[in-house]
Amino acid sequence: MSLNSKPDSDQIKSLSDARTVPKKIAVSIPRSPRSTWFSTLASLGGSIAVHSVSMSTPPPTQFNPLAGLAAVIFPGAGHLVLGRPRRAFFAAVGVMGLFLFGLFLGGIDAIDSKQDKVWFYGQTLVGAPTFVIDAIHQTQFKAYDTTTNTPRTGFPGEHRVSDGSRHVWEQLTEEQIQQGMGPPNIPGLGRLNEIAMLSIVLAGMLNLIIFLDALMPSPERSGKGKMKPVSEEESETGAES
Amino acid sequence: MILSSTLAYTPFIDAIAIHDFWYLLIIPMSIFLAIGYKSVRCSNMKNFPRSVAVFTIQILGGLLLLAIAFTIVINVLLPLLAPLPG
Repeated sequence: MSLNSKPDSDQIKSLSDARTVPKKIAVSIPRSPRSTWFSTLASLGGSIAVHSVSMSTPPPTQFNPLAGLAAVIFPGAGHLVLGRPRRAFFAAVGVMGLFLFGLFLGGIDAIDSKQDKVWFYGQTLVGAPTFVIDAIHQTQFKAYDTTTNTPRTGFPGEHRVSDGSRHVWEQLTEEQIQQGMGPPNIPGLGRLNEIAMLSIVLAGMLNLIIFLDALMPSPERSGKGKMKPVSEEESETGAES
Repeated sequence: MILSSTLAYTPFIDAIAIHDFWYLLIIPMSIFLAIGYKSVRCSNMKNFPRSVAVFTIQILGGLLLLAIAFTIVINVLLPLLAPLPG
């Protein structure tokens, strides 16, 4: 049985019966004719291979690059391509829940490819949403510091203005601050900012697991750890055959 | 915070000021993590809600045990091993 081909129902039955095969061999070898002896050896080799597979994590049923590509674009989309909509929904809820929770805590400043570079590497594992938010953050919320000539987040008492070619930070007067003017966003500080960034990194690491599962999907398992290539619909509904 | 009082808070743009309750934030994080992880690792989707609940409790329980262990190390063991002068 090739690992890349989908097993049929007979092959699966032999997987579950693999433990009983060695007993049969011990009894049948001395009395078997040569042709049977060869087939017994072949089945022994097969049973050892199958047994080692059944003892470990089930192997991927089929390498699916399209599902992998979809999973990179948006969390859960890979499982949608695989025809597992319920799993896709919950995967998206898990990853995007952590992602949005991080944004809710730390604001848009929780994703910053320039000032929090190391955190950003982990956050990129979420996929497209991270790059979109970072692009918005860099272009719509940051401006140049006129003294250091580098883009940064605004401080309290500053506002973002265009000098013709780029956006720069300009100091506000006391009266303007009283009117409610200020930078376009309030950055997170201290422990809360770390928790926000951590939440988005966790979303990225979770998405990596989901991406790998979409790229190399495992067969569904029935209750007692036997591999069971049930149809996707059965696995979604939890139906037993 | 001064900024919170002068500027309008915009969700998902501004940071939220809940510094006093930071330790409670682990609960929603654990729930989302459990939902995402069990969406691909749960063998049978019929058991999904139960798996998520068990995994969430395992995460929170593990963190609670770690917190207790570190509290004992820092407040009891370290002062015994290296007493502060004075």
